Formats: sequence, structure tokens, C-alpha cells
Amino acid sequence: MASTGDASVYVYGVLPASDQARVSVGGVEGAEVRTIEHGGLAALVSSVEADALAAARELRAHWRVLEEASKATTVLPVRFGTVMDSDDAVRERLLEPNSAGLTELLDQLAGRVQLNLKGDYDEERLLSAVVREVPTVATLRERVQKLSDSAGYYDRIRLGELVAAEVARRREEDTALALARLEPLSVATDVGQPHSPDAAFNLAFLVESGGVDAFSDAVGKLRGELGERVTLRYVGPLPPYSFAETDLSAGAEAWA
Amino acid sequence: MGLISGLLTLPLAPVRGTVWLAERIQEQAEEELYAKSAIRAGLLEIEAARQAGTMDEQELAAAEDALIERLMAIRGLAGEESSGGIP
Amino acid sequence: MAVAQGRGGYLERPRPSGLADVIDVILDKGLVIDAYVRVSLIGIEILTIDARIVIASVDTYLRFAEAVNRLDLMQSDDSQGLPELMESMTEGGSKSKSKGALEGVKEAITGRGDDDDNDDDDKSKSSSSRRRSSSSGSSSRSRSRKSS
Repeated sequence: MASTGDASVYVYGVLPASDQARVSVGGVEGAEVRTIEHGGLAALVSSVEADALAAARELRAHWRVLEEASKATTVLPVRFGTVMDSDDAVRERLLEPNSAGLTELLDQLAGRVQLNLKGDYDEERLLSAVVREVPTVATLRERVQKLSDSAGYYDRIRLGELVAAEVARRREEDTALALARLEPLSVATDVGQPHSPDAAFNLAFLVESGGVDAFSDAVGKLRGELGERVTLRYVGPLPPYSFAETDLSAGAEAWA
Repeated sequence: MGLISGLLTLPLAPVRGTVWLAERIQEQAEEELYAKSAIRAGLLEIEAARQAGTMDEQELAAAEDALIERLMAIRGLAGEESSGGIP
Repeated sequence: MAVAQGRGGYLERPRPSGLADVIDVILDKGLVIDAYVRVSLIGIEILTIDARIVIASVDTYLRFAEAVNRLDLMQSDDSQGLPELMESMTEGGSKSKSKGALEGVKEAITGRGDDDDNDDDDKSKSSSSRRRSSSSGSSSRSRSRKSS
């Protein structure tokens, strides 16, 4: 592993030193991806020449490096765009002071993968259902349709408010349903912000590698249960981005 | 970005308190959501085109880059430097 | 072990991730290290949301109202029932209108870059970090970790 002296270092992730991951794809700036080791841990890095990076291109590189490294072993992903001052900085500022915490985190993630499940409503079906099932909405809608734009302005707002509240309620219900079906088959869950205005839910699960098939079967059943109301997008396995979220800048408290 | 500058450009807008501000923040979040969602849809389309092999990869990558950069601009990630205490 | 499959014996398996699937988690998640973040954009115009924000106060509600109004309930309704449904045929093709909320925004996004004035660019930089923290702060995120 060639030491590159004082060049800046882009950090992709952290993995156990014993699980050497060979990354053939080029990293940020097309640079060779290598590891810096310390105390049983290895940081996956590459040297950075420029002062500023082209965000989009490097995002893609960041992603591809982690995808490839994750084929061999569990890698703890680091937030995109993290650059440290030197190889020594990686050793002395990242790996050394956080050795125990990082090791524990890697233990928790070992043999586990992230699976993402996004649900999206068919807007037309959703709104039709709301009009059908909520009498106040149907009534107000009728009234609004008979009024001109200006006369019906406040009624339209009220109608929109009612519908928005109904949609929010259904979103909560469907999120709870998905969690009820899938949480028992996972190690950890992350409920994300809606990814779109028509989103039903945006979920990330940490699942044992050996349990992915059973989890997938449950997703299949959920798909049937949701029917045509919700379109599911089931993606993975991913490096555990959503479960690596410890903020090291907080210092020792982050590991509490 | 948008919220503060938007508030400053409102004509004769009195300060109406925290509820009003909370509503403005909520709107901004919603606008961002629509924008992000459209970008995501664009990225998915590019992926589909990539798998179908219908378009030149360079064009697809350029389109992808543009969308990613737009997404980052929306998130306020553009040009951001958060300095750590560690040199 | 009995394997439950979806309807019709379809075997559910996760699909490999594309950039669109992971871009949010790559940008939002992952270990945060106390380090310099030096990613900057090249050749991009910053999107600004202009003073229309004052009208947007009811914009979302109006979008919903409009979408609901233009529903062609006959088409998407399985259960026949209310005579009110008969009257919901609107002029201009209801099917596309109900998706209009999102389509309209797509245009707005591509159109915005041309319309907006970039007076706000200087202000945009100073409050960009605020927006980042507020958006991450307002995330309704719950997490359960189970010790196995």
C-alpha cells in the first residue's frame, strides 16, 4: 500500500482489516481505491488531488466503490463527500479514537444487508377512494364543482385540506401495515421521509443475509395485500447506509 | 436559500409569528419534495434507457450528472463546506 | 419450510439498486466524520424558489382539490353506487389531469431555471447550511434496533 504523503484522502467506508476488499473500479477522480489500516480496522480510501470535486461524477464513483466492496464484506458506508487531510489523519483522527465504537458497529452490521422498500400511491385510485369513502369530501366536492373558481375558492381550500388529511391518515396506516408485516423479519428498521408527493412509505430494513428470502416472501405477500392501491419498489441488497448513521463529530457521546 | 430570500422579497409582509413561519417552511419542504421527486423519476428513466441500451452512454451520464447536480442544489449541498475541527 | 409467494406464484426478490434508488441514502446517511467536506459543484445554477412562496400557502391544498375535482370516478371505481359519480366526466381528459399535479411540477422545474432571477444567489449560500440542518431535523424518522 503506497503511502501518498500529504495528499488529501477521500473516505468511502470502514471495514474489518481482516476482510480485505479488493476494489477494481476506480474511485473519486478515477483514482485507485486502497485501504488504510489501524487496530483491526481498515478505511477504504483514495487519494484526492483537486481542491474541489465534480459532485455528480464523484457521487457515482462513491456509490460504485461501495457496491463493489460490499460484495466481499460488510462495509460501513461513510457520508458522501468526506475528505480527510492525509493518510495519517485517517489513522489518527478516524480509526484510532473511534476504534471501539467502529468495531462494535461493524459487529452489529456483519452478515446483514440493507433492503429498501418504497411504496407509491396511484394518485387517481387514492383520491377516488377518498371521495368514495369519506362523505364530507364527496359532498364538498359536489358543491365546489357547481361554483365558479372565485366563488368556490375557500371551499376548494377546505376540500383540499380534507383530502390532504385523509391522505396523511392513509399514509400512516399503510406505513404501519408494512412495518407490521416486515419489522418482525428484520434486525432494524428506518422509517424515512416521503420520497415523493405520492409516497405511501419509504422504509429501510437491516436484514440477516440468511433471512433475505423469507423477508422477500413477506414483501410479496404485502404486495398482494396492498393490491393496486400501492406500487412497491423493493431494492437491495445495499450497503447499510441507513444503519451507519453515527455522528463521529460529536465525539465520545456518539457511542453512548 | 429560498426561504430566507423568499421572505425578504415579499412585499409588505408583516412578521406574523411562528405559525406563519412554520407554514412557510412546510411549503418549502413540499416544493422541494416535488422537485426531488421529479428528479428521481428522471433518474429512473435514465436507468431504464441504460438497460434498454437505447441511448448513448455518454449522453445518459451527462443527463444523469445534470439531474444529480440539480438535486444537490435543491438540498443546499452545493458549495457547502462544513469544516471539522480537525485539520 | 413453507414459502409464501405472491399471487399467482410470482417470486418476490429485491432488485439491484440503481442510482435513483440510493441517491437519497448516499447523501443523507452513512457515517459522519468530523472532516472537511470539499464537494462543490461545477457549472450549475442554483435553483431559487422565489416570492411565489406567498401564494404557495394554499397551493398544495388547491392541487389536491383540483385533482379530486377532475377525477373520472367511473374509470377507477370498482363499486358502482353513488349517482354523483356520473357527473364527474370533465372536459379535457380527466385521467391525465389527476396526474397533472406532478406533471406540472416537472415543467416547473425545467422552466424555473429560465424564469428565476438570480438575485438570491448570494443569500442562498449563507442559508444553505441552515436548510440542510432543518431538513434533516424535520425528518420524521423512527428506528428500532433489536438486539438479537
